[in-house]
Amino acid sequence: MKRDRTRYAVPTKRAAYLMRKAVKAGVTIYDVTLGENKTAFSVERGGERALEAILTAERIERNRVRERTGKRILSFLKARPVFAAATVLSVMAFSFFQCFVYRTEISGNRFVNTKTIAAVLEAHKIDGFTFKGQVDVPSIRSDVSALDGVSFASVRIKGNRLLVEIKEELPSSDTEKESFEPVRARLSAVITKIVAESGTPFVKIGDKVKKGDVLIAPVYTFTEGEGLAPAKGEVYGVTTYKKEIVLPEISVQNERTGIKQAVRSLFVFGKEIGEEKAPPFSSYDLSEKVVFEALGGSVRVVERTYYERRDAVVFHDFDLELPALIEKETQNLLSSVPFYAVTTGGVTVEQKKMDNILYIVLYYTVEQRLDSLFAPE
Amino acid sequence: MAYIEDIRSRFGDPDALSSRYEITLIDDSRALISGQKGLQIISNEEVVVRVKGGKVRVYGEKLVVRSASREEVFVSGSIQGVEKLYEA
Repeated sequence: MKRDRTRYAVPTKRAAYLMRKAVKAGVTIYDVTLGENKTAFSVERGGERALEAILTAERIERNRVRERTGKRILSFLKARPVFAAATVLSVMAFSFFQCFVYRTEISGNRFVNTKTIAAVLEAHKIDGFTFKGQVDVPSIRSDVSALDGVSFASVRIKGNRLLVEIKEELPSSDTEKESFEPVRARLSAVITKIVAESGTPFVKIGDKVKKGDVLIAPVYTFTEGEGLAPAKGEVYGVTTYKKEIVLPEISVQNERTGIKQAVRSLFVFGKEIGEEKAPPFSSYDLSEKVVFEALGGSVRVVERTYYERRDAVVFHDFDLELPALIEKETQNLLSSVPFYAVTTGGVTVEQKKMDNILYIVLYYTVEQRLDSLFAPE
Repeated sequence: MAYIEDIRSRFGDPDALSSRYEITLIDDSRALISGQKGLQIISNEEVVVRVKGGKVRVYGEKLVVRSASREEVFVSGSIQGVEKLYEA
């Protein structure tokens, strides 16, 4: 293997003289070519210093061109086209793959779900092979930082990997405060699950509890007796939301008769001119509007409209009215159920008719967390 | 160079042939002069190298000194002849 050489071009006709001196000084000369008033030759790196000394002593100007190893590699590759093609293809493939991100690494999360972070990346179309130019790192960083429980997010591209490192928010100091209050039921239910982190469970699965009942007591029982311990935990139960409707066959309803009467009054400086007019109906709805105004509101004409109302006996057709009524009340019932409740079945309807009165009860049974430590509303 | 040793041995007395210089001609395109004492002339038509007891002249066309070190000079090109010039 040839060592790196430096090519010299010197403006001298005395090539032999120079070569002789160089060789005498221990420099090996290669590829001497002669041009008009110019001699070019190569020397190995190790001989450069000695040659430079000779050229300086002889006051000969020179041009130096380092013969790059790359040049030799090029000629080496030229002689081996298949190898050269494979090398070029490998370099191209490597360069091509360097343009893509095809792996994501999420780290630093203990409480924040990895899938939640992955969903953010998916929303930014980071899946499989993604062109690096399409990865909006600042936007991803901002979206990941906005996740609940994330206090800081670092997003960067390293090679073909997208690295997402997060720092989570410290748990709220409130949760660290020790409370010796018992955990109570927020509503009546049948217990289905108890997870007591601290304290002693006061109920067991299947127990019926009412609102305010103790679920977890702030005590800890050990062989010598009892001690105080903060009551913490989660208690779940099945509870039923209920909506009652009473629909009499005959009802008296105060309704507008459709008769109305308008009365106009003149007001000057806020005082009504003339005798105050008595309402035309004994039962009415009233609406007022200003129909004329002058002198900056000092003079006004106000029109009062009276709508007559009277009690009317209404006869209800249960068959006709019931479906729409149940549908409406079902929606009201469902909207009163908290969002975190898990349904255990649909809405059930019970009807009972007594003395021309129809009683309808809607039931909706759900399972939900019912301890007093949980109050998301 | 083993073949030079071989040539020496063919003369029967290697010591008598302890060389001062050697000229090796390979085809008409390469010449190696060992035991050189200095380059005298370099041109495209001739390369003259001093050796002990005279000079060696390689002449031809498009001659190039491929390498020159303390011991030997390697010339390539279209070599027409090599001659020994004795000093007067």
